[in-house]
Amino acid sequence: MTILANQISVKLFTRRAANQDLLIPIFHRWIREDLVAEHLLIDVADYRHVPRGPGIMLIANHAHLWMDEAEPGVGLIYARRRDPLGDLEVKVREALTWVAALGAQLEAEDGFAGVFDPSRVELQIRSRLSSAETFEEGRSALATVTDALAEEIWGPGSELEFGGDPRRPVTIRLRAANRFATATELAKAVAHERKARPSLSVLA
Amino acid sequence: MSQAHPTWKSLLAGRADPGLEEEIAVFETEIELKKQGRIDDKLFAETRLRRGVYGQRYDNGQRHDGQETRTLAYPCGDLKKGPDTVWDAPGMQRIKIPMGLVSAEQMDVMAELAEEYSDSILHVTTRQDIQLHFVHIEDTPPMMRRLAAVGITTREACGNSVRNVTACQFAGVCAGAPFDITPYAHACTQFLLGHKDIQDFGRKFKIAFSGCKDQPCGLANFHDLGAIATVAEDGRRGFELYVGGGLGAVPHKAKLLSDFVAEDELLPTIQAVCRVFARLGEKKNRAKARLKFLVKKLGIDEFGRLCDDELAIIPHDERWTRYLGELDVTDEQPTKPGRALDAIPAGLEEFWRSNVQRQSQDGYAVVTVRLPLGDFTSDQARGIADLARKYCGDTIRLTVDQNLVLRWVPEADVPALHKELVALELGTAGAGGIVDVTACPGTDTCKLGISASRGLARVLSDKLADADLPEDVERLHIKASGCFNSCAQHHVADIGFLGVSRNVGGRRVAHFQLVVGGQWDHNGASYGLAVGAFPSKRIPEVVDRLTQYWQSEREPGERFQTFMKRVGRAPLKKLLDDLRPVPGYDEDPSFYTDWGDAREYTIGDMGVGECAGEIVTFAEFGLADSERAVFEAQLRLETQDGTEAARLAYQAMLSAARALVRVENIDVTDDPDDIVGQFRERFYDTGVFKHKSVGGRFASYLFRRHGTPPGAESLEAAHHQIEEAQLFIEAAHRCYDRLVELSAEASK
Repeated sequence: MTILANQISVKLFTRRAANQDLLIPIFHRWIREDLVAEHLLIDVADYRHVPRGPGIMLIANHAHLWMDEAEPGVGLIYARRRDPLGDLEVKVREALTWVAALGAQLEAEDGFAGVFDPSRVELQIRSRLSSAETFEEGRSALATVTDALAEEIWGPGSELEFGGDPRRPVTIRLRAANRFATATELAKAVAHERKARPSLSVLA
Repeated sequence: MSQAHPTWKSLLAGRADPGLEEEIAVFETEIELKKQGRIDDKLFAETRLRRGVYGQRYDNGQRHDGQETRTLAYPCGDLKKGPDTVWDAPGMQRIKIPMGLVSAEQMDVMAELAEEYSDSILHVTTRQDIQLHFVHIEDTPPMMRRLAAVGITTREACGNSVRNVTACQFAGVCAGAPFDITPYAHACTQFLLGHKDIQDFGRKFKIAFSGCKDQPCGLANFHDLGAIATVAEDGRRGFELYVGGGLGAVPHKAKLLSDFVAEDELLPTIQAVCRVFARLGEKKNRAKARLKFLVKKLGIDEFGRLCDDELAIIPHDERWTRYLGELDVTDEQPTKPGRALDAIPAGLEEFWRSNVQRQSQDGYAVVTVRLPLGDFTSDQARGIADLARKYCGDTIRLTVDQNLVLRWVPEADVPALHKELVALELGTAGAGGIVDVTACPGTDTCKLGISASRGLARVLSDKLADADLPEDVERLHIKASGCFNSCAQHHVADIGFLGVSRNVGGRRVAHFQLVVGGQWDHNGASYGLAVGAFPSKRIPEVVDRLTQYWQSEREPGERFQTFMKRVGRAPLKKLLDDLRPVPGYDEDPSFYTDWGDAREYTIGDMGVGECAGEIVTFAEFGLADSERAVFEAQLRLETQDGTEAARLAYQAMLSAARALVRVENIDVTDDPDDIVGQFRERFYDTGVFKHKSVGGRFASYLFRRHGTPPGAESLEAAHHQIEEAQLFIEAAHRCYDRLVELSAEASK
């Protein structure tokens, strides 16, 4: 039985706490001005009252974006609801591209300059369309892809850590070599490898 | 990797009850047929509602961004999942949890579903359901399948059916109850699920079970059918049965149908009530289709007689009594023996006082886990499931004030449990108190929301948590509904709010109508009365003043509800009147956004356009006059003069109607016939006076009252007429806004 790799999410950790309150006007403006290409932006959900919760969430048709406060630390999560076509490597690269690009876009907003730590990400396969026995197989597949991407984007010297609870989605945390100072730099490096860059001004 | 692509259907084959699996398979087929355009929108909508698949705000494909309404270009094109409901638009999945009773395994599965199909948040409702938001309709069959595999059905969670059967969370462990009502509520749930006699309702039907009369937990007094446990003198178990209660726009207290229905007569009696409702309940006018209107129309004696007649002809069903041999089916098995706690540890006093209740079984306690606005994360859900397994025997119960409880916790384990709750960020005190504000989804996700009830609740909760409040103030209940439909049960709060909207200087401003003095205990025994509307941004100050006023002016030991009833509205008006005016936009633009939203406030997402036109001063003056009249009606009610109160309520409606007519015809007279006639011709018959979600029913309040000869009115009837007048006035405000908008358009 095989893990069908769906609903990839990537979390880009921050160096410091992020002010969730600032995200409300920012996300509403992104919607009003249609500032996230290739995404149908729908609404902003407010979960600031939930400790270690999703905070302020930007709801889009095929993905959500939020500054997550769950352990092991605060970070911007980009979570696909519907994956693009392709194998696991394509899907992971896509999600990584967008979290970096949107992190870069957020870095350009007041209050978020330099907030991200582009050497630390967490990847998840959120779909559990598998039996319990294939949790290890899914983790192994994700580790293979992550390892290769890390080498390609960050260079050698990355460490992978596995999330242990099999009830949670398959989770891998990457601590890469400190090659990038900002999410913008990371986004440009990741996008360089894509056939088409996300059409975001920060990547111009 | 292999190329196999498993599906949840194949993975879970054989795990669910065959009946549930068949239901889900039928729904999957209906989805496919709908996608092929072979099912009517309206029919499909009711189909999915009966499976708990609900709509959300913006699912008509339109969203106001603070400046204008924009179309959301979903990829599905014209495909709809109901009238004016776009296929790809995110929706809500309501998961019925009968009696609020969840196993640890079920909690784990719902945690997964929240992560995969929703926003990683589980929401507890005021009817002990779980709701997941931002769900795509095509994800609902696998969700249902995964729920069915652990014994949960979403069937009849919404729609014109018997909704989730609720029960008090202390059933079986409370010293005040004569017996555990859980197996009876369970039997009622099982019996009615999919029953042929509940398939022809004109509206929803809500049932609640309570173990006793005194406590609030069951809230039997405002349900379509409420059952309160009682024991006859000969020791037989039975129930007091109440019917025809309901909140909504105009609350009705349930009436006593029978002071004793023996346990072996419970199910057939409920069935008889359902059959009478199905047969005689209103079907065309949805606004009058709840059971409360039928009971009011017939009177309780006649309704009871009809039920007795129905009972005499219902074919016998062995399920009526079969369950009595299986009353232990819902029994819980504690994990550990009971063990008393010698002394409450330092630092746990506050939590113990508010969140812990000793059970009737020695050495055990019920621990309430306070969930902020009823929300918790998937990780927290898994943590709760683990705690249930570890401390209390696997079961968790959701509560109607949007929390959950862990029962059968050995008292001596409470400190350790609390420590683990703190690690999950779920160890806060104040459950059921003033900081634990209940709120419906409101404008966050509900299409009917007028104001941000959750945003308000969040602000109030934070502010009150930081305040150093006296203990009795800490025990007050605050509830905030986003509109008049009362999903947060604001009518039975000490301090209740319902979302309304006002036009100020050509701009929309979010307001909340204040309702004080409702009675939460004694099963939600009585309803508060409206004091007036206040800008949303002033509400925290309103709450401060009310609580301080009570503290400073009450008689020794006088409860909040009693105090409010004693002082009446006049002093409250004086106390709060200066909080009503809204500063100009240039002076303080923050009033023109609602809590938690960066957009300028609008009700455009309900379908009414933003108003930026010139103020029509006669109309505003007239509407203010109508509000004054309804306030005076309320004062008369307090002096027990129902007849005068009703007359003033009618006058209030005439004022509002005349205010609108004067926009078009300044020569309208004061003659009621002239006012009503012109109102009907100019506003009702033309369709201008329409409320998007309820049609013309608010106008019908005026027409009916105008057509009724004046006479003596009971206090209850006067109360209803005042409520109806307030709703008519609200609709008049909205109509006026529409006129201003049209005027602005015409002047471009």
